Amino acid sequence: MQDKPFLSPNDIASELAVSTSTVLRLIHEQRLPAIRVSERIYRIPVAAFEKYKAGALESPSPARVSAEVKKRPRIGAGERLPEAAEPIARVRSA
Amino acid sequence: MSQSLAQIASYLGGLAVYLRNLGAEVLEPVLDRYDSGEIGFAITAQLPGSNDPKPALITAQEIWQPAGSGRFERSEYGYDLIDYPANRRRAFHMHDVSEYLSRLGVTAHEHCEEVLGKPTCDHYLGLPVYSGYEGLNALLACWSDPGPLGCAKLRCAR
Repeated sequence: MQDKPFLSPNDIASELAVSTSTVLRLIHEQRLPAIRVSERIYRIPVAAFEKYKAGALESPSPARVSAEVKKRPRIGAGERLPEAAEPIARVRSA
Repeated sequence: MSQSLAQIASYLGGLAVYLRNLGAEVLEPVLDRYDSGEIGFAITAQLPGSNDPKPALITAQEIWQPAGSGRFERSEYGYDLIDYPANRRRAFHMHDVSEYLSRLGVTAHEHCEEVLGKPTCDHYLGLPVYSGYEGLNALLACWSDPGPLGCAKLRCAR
């Protein structure tokens, strides 16, 4: 059994005793963190809602820029590169 | 679109806070300088919820190449979700661009494993992901959905 609790805007509206449209406004104004699943569906992790209620949401600040020069990493390291695709003409004639 | 070093540092800080405010644990991000003259970063977020057998992890990696006048352009990325509790994986990648272009005719590809470590296709054709926010939100949407990832609906590129 997974423990991945999420709330819907309706759940939050009930909890805060406000309308769902008010919750959606909070989400659109980026005052309430939410995962956008589709144009009309949002999910709010319980942990995010707890932070919101506690006034513990963080404000962004710039990341530190390292003074050290590192070896360039390789994204996708260990990933097998794809086989060459068959030429389109061969695929069509098959 | 090119960005200054300061803009990329702000963007990276924003990505980390975006994940933290959703309840994830993220270490302080650092924008690295590479021996190639490029810059980039890798951040890992431990997602809230089940820890069995391990917490779900999201990683975001980006490499930005110099674009002149002290500015940089994002040239490679990898956004990965390994959802250990749900035993599955989803990822959006753009790297080794010339190889992928010559072999598959695309710059971006995706990974999708309904069962972790047992992909039915090594690479799926993908569309470019325009920012880390877009990539992370797409992975978080997968993580928050108990249904199948929908790998069978993607187009296998071999």
